[in-house]
This record gives sequence, C-alpha cells and structure tokens, in this order.
Amino acid sequence: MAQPGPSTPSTKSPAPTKHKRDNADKSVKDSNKNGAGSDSEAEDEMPDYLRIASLTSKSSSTSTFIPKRGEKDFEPTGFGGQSKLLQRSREAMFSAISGERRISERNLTRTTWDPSVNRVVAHQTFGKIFDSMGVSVKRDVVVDPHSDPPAIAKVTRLELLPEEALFLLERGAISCGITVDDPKPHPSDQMPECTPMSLQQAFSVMLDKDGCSRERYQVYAYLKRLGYVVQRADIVEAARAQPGPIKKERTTSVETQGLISDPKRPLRLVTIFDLLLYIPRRLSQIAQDALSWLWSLVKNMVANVRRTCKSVANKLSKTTGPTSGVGISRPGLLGSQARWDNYNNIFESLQIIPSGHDFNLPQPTTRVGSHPSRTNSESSGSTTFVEKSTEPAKGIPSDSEYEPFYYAYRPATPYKKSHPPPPEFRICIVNARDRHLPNVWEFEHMFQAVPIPGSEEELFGSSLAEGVELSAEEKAERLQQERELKKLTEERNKSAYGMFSQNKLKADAEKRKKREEEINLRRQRMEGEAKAAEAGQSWWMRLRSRLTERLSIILFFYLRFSSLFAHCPPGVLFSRGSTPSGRGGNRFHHNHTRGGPDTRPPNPFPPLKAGRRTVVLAVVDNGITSMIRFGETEFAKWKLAGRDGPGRGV
Amino acid sequence: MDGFRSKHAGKVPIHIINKHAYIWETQDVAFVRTEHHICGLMTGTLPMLNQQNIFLGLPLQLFPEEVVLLMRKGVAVLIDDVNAHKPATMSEKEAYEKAYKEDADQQRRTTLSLRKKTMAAYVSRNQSSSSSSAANDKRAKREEAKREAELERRRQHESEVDHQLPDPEDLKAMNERRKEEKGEEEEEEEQLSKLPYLHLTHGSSSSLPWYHPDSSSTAYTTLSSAAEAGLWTYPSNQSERASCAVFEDLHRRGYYMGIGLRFGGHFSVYPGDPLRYHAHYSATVYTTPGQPVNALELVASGRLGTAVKKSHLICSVRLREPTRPEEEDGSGRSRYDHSDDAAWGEVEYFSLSWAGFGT
Repeated sequence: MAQPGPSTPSTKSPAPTKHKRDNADKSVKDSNKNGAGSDSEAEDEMPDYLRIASLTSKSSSTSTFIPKRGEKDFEPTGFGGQSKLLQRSREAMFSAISGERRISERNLTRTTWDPSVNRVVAHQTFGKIFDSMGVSVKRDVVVDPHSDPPAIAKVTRLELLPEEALFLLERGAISCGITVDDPKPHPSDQMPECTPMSLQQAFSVMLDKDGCSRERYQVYAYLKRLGYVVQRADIVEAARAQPGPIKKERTTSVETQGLISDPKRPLRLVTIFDLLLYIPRRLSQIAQDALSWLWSLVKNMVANVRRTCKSVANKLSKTTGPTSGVGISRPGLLGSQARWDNYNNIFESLQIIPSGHDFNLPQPTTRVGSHPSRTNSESSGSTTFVEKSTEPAKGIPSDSEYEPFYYAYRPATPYKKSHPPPPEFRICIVNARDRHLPNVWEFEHMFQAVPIPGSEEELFGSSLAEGVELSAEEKAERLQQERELKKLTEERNKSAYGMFSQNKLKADAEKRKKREEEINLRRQRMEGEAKAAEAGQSWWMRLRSRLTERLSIILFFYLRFSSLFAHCPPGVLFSRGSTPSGRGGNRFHHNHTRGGPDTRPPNPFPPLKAGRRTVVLAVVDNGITSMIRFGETEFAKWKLAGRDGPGRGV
Repeated sequence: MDGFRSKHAGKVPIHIINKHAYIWETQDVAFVRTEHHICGLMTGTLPMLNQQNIFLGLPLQLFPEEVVLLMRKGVAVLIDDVNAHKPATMSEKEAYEKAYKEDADQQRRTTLSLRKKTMAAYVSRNQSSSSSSAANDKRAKREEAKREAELERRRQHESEVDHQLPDPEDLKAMNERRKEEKGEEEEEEEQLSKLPYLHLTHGSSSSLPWYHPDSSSTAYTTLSSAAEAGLWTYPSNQSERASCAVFEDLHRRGYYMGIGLRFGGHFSVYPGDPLRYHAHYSATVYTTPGQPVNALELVASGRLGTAVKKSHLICSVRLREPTRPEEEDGSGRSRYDHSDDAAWGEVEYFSLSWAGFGT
C-alpha cells in the first residue's frame, strides 16, 4: 500500500491513474458548453477561464445554462504550445475578473450603512430579489435631533443584514453609503451626508459585524449564487413566531349571504328553496349536535372504563409478576404470561434497554472530568492542523457555532418574508482551521435545534412571540395553515426539481411516446411479414389472441371485485386493503400481488439513510466550502425482522 | 493609492480584514500568479455571470501560508483595511462626486452621439430607398418614414436629427417652435440629464479619495511588525509554522499549491498553474517527525487519494529548533521575516497510493 522509503515529489512516484489527455488545440476549439467537460474529475479543479468569453457572449441569447469546467493537461512538458495556452488562459481569467459592476442608475437601490444597528437601511428597492431578502423592522428613529428632547418617531424600514448587503453590492445591485466626517451639523430634515462604499470598503466595514463572519458570508453567497433562498435561523424563527396571517375562515363567504341562525354554522338563505327547507335543515343541524354530544359522552365513558380496567390489570400483574424490576410494564417474554404468538412481541419485550435519539446522553461534564488523559491524547493526535484543539468547547457546547445559523430553501419555494415556511435545510458553519468535527454532545446540541419533521413543533416554530396567546381553536387553525404551507412548498419544489420535476416528467412522457411508436411500427412490420409468410398458421394465432383477450377480461374482473370477497378466510383470496402495518395481509402473498396495489411494507433502508432530523454542516477553509449532511439514523425505530417483515417499528 | 504604489514599488498590497487576506486589483493578481506562482482563491461574484459558483472573481483570497511566503520574499505589504478606510471629509466627498458626475456625463454624451448616429443611418437608408421609387410610392413611403421617425424621435427625446430629415417642412416648424422656448444648448443639456447612465460599484478602494493605506499604522512591510500590531499573527504556533514550512518547500521546488480541503488534505499540489494542470498530490502536514499516525488514517488517505486520482503526500516536518527561548514567545519573530535568513525547517515527503493487490 504505502511506498517503502521516502520519495520526494520531484521523483516520479506512482503516477495517478491516467488522466484524459487532450491536445491543446482541441480544448480551445471545444469551448462550447457541452464540450468534453471533465465531469469525472471532481468539480474541485480550477475552472477554465478560456470558456468564459463564449459564455458571456452567449448569455444574452440563450436561456439558463450552467458553465462547465474545461479540459486540462496532465503536467507541463515544456512544449511551447502549452505555455502559450496557459498564457491565454491567464489572460482570459484576468480580463474576466476585471469586469466592472455596472447597473443602470434607474434600477439602483440606494442604501446606507447604519452603524448603530450594524445593518444597512434600504431607502427604496428595485427588483424581485428583495422579495426574499432583508428584514422589515420598526425602529425608533431620531427625526429631529435639534429639538429638545430629540424628536423620535417609529419608522418601519427595510433593513439588510451585512451579508445581504455585501452580496447585493457584489452583484452591483445596490449602492451603499457611509456617513462622512462632517464637522458642521447637517440640516435636521435631510439625510446625513454619505459617500458610497466600494466593495473593498464594505468588506472592511461589514464583515464580522452582527455575526456575519467571513465563513458565514461565503456560505451565504455560495448558496445565493445558486439561487437558494437563505435567511438567518433566528430571523426566520422570529418571523414564524409572530401570530401570522390568520386567514379569514372559509365559511365567511356564506355568512355574508342571507340570514344567520347560528353564528358559527350559518344556513344559506338566498333562494326560495333555502327558505322552504329552512326548518328541516335547522332541525337536522340540531340533531347532529345532539348526536355528536351523545357520542362524545359515550366515548368518554368507554375511555374511563378502559383506563380503570388497565390500572387494575397493571396492579395485578405487578404484584404477581416475578420479574417486573427490569422496567417492562406489561408481561412479555420475561413476564409471567409469555406471549410467544409473534416475533414482534418477542422483540419488543427483549428490548429492555431504551435506545434511540430521544434518550438524552449522560452529561458530558462527567466525561471530561473522568478522562482527562484521553482529551490530551486526542489533541496531540491525528489532526495536526489544529494545535489549539483544547480551545474549542470540548464538553458542553457553549458557543453557538454548532447551532444552525442559516435556513435555506430551494428557489421554487413560495417564500414570504412576513411568514416564511418551515426550512428545508438547516446549516451550521464552522471554520476548518480551528474546529474539529463535532463530538457526540455537539451533535446532540446541533440536532436539538431541529424539530422532528412532521411534528407540531416543526410546523409551529419553537415558541411564539411574547405576549401572543392562542386559543386551542386558533392553534388548530394555525397548524392547519402551516401544514398547508409546508405541503405547498413541498409540491412546488417537487414539481420544479429532481425526479418528479415537470420538465423531467414531460421529457419522460415524450420518450415513452416515441418508444411506443417505434414498437408499434415494428409490430406492424412484423405482422405484415408474418401474414405474408405463414398464412397457414393464422388460425392458431387467432385462437391465441382470443384466449388472451378473455383471460385478461377475467383477470380484470377478478382484481376489480376481489375486495368484495375480502371477508373470506385468509388464503382464499388476498385482501386488497392490506396496509403496510399489515393487519389483514399475509406476507407470503406479497410476491403474487403484482397486478394489485403495492402491499409491500416500506423499505427501511432509505429512511435509515436519510435519518430523522438532518443538519447540514458547512466547513469553510479560506474560501473553499464543503457541505456535509448529517442525519439522525434511527436504528431503534426501524425493525428489520418481525411479523410483517421490515418496516416501521414502535 | 498612487502614492502608495510609488512608495512600495514592486510590492503587492495585501489587504487584511480580521486575519483574512485579500487582493483587490487585477494587476496584483496577475503579478503574484505569474511572478510568484501564488494562486489564492477567487471568492467574489463575477459581475457578468452572477448566478454561478464556477467562475468567481475578485477579491482574491490568499490563504495564510501564501501571505507568509510573499511577505518573507519581501514582495508584499500588509494593509490594515479597517483603519485605512477613513470617514470621508467634505472635500473628499466633493472630489468623488465630481468624478462620478463626469463619468455619468461622459456616458450620457456617448449614448447621445450613438443615438444620433443610429438615427442618421436610419434616415439616410429610408431616403435612398424612397428616392428610387415612383412618385406616388415616394410620397407614401416618405410619409411612413416620417411617421416612424417621429415616433422614434419622441421616444428618444431627439431633436438635432431634425436637420437631417428628408422632408424638413413641418419638422422645421416644430424645431423653431422649440427653439423659441429655449436655446439649443440648454435643450441638449436637458436631454442629457434625462438620459440614463450606468452606476459603477467600485471593487477596489484604490480610486476612493478617502482610502489612505499609506501610513505607518496601516501598512506593514514585515511579518514581525504586523504581528506586533496584532494585524497578522500567522504563524503563531508549531503546527502553523510546519504548514508554512511545507508550503514554502514545495513552492521552492516549483509546485503550485491550492487549498486541499476538498481532497482531504491540507494542500493540493499542482505541477503547473492550476488553470491548465490537474493536481498530482494532496498533502497532509505532520508537525513533528515523531508524531504518531493512525493506521486507519493512512488507509483512508491512500484510499481517498486513489479515488480522486492523486497520490497522497505525507509531509513530515522537522522544525528548526529555537536557539533562544525568547524566540518561542514571539519576540524572536523577526527571525522569520525573510526567507533568505532562515528556513522554517526540513521537510520529508512520503507518497502514498493504493497498491491494489488482489483487486
């Protein structure tokens, strides 16, 4: 594996696997975007700036495209063409980077830097990009500093975070002013005198203000350049904690028309029939109320009875059961009444030690105290780049580095600044040079900031804004709204990207159509040939086709109406409605139900791989970013064996 | 900035903001790349292609080892960018605004002359085509051309063209009417002020009058002075010195270095300019010769190197022992100011690749 003995890099060490080698001319000619981009080579190599000229000249005419990297040589050989090519590449690069940021002053958004809040105040905005950027804030602004006391007014204004301002400035979309050193007091009714900042000045002014570190800005800009909607986690959480736009109830449209008999459930009284049928309708309404009241009464009673029964049974089993000390509340394999009737029960009762992500780890402080030698050996160990590894929080993650800092949404998300949807990605950002990978407590800390997908907490935000109280009804309504919002987000993104995107589906459909046409053509040709060749055997063909026709009809009816006979004993007919939890299904039939609905239990491996909660960790080293997705794999929740085969466990 | 350049001729200004090093001008990028084989990393949005991450532009961010190397070679000046940007005085502001207005006026004048030219070309084309046809046709066409010209003119607030129009009767009348209202000069001025221009966001601050990099508190020519001022403290410990040693040694041998994060090492090592050549090695720095290496780590490195078609390089550094104790705590820093004075230490290399027996 390792080469024995030292070898300096100047001597030929075992050369890496052969690279694609291209002669110089081809790579220049091949500057169209579909050219032989070295995709197999990781996307990590330097881009070929020679291509940029062709890209920018085309960019006006063609629609969106993604530039690709160019072809490169393996090593310098001293061949003159190579150095000429390098020269050209460099020149292309230098000319590309010396382009100016210019924008028509009519579309220019003018802003100023406000050092008191470390944000940029936008005076007016142009462009769609502000739909998802900036924060509307109500602030006390000094209107007249010369009056006594200074006049202060509440002003709602759009503020840009430092990273947002830097990003927009880099695109040349805004001009950002900074106040001048003016000895004279400026007239009170005017803006203070400002000079626009260069990008360089903006870097020196805005970086490391308000939590906008260089690393975070780089991750932000990287995602924004790709079109993602990115916003800070705390800002999104605060916006989501607001009471939000509680929509008017849907029934209000009816309410406005006609007579109101019951304010909660109005009856429409517009046409003559409405009037004539009013009494029976109202009666049925009242009867419904009475019925539902009765039903709830019965339900409560049943529940009460059940509860008392259970508690009595529990008490009985506790007093009689011999091994109730291990924490099993009900009798199982090791209890008094062993139930051996299925695997699930056995497995469940075998799991006597609780596991999974919901059980808190022991406090890390004890660990640090008890193993001081281990932490030392760690720091002198593998990673040499970090000598001061004892500096970052070893035990309890005290800093917020391992908390999601940005939330990101894919571009198709219907994002509203006033009420953003639940985030799709949560991103933590660390500097590669002074941080190790997070330890298990830091991971726990990281995941704790993420609500469980599908839970109320995710839909509702972690907490409501102060002073906002919601009644149970409002809460339910809000939850419903959030659920719809999330669904809408998912649908939009699903139709925009990936396997099920509109474009992909359309392309697939076209492909399928084409293939079918081809098949038809071929079949026609074959049929023609067959007819010509074998006229004698045609009776046999006819018989066969008729038989298959009949059979398919029978099969169709069988499948269609099999559910009617579902009450037959198992084994007679398979049931159509056997659910993944598998109450009615027999697992040995799964292989035979190819024509029917998919009754197989869910495959546990994709969800195991995806994990329950996920966090993206962006590691930044002086401008290069690697994003890693961490997921909470739930081995405790997915069973691989049992009565119904693999599937979701308890 | 001009004064700065003449004072530090042949040196590259490296702008420091909170221990991050940037280069803001193309000429400097070209200089360090072609003369000193320092590539850095483009980190800014490219103005003309601003929705992608493959081609990036200024600022160029240098990683610490590159800064140290350039400083030790004596070809760079560190600038404290936070303090170099002073609030503008009123006179500086006026100077800036004057330049800005001149730029805008220049643009407007260019636009106007361009429009005139297009207009003239359009008119003359119409004229030539109409003169060649029959009399009736001529009139119809002329009228059409006139209408179009009128439309065009209205859209563009154009009046000077009137003189060149083929059928000047009514236009002349209009023109004279206008002339009565105001002088021709004034009118042009008014038109100019209505024309849009392009706003320029400066990348570099070098043209801003309130940027003062050239003072003893903002410009540092040696690593030790910058470290004393707290502006640039890298390398401050053994491991940082070790990675400087590796960087400098490989650089001396003619290799180009990039950040190795994506290949799982500290550096990726290129045989020539990364623009044209693939990396051959990814290097991991081991601070001391006695540092234990996990076997598992070796396997991982070898495996990774093969997967990305590179061989992994293990760089073991024997740092020069500090001769005096005070050298360790920073007071002996000036020892490292110039690469001629003292090397960081010796570096030994081991390359690692998958042997592939049995596969």
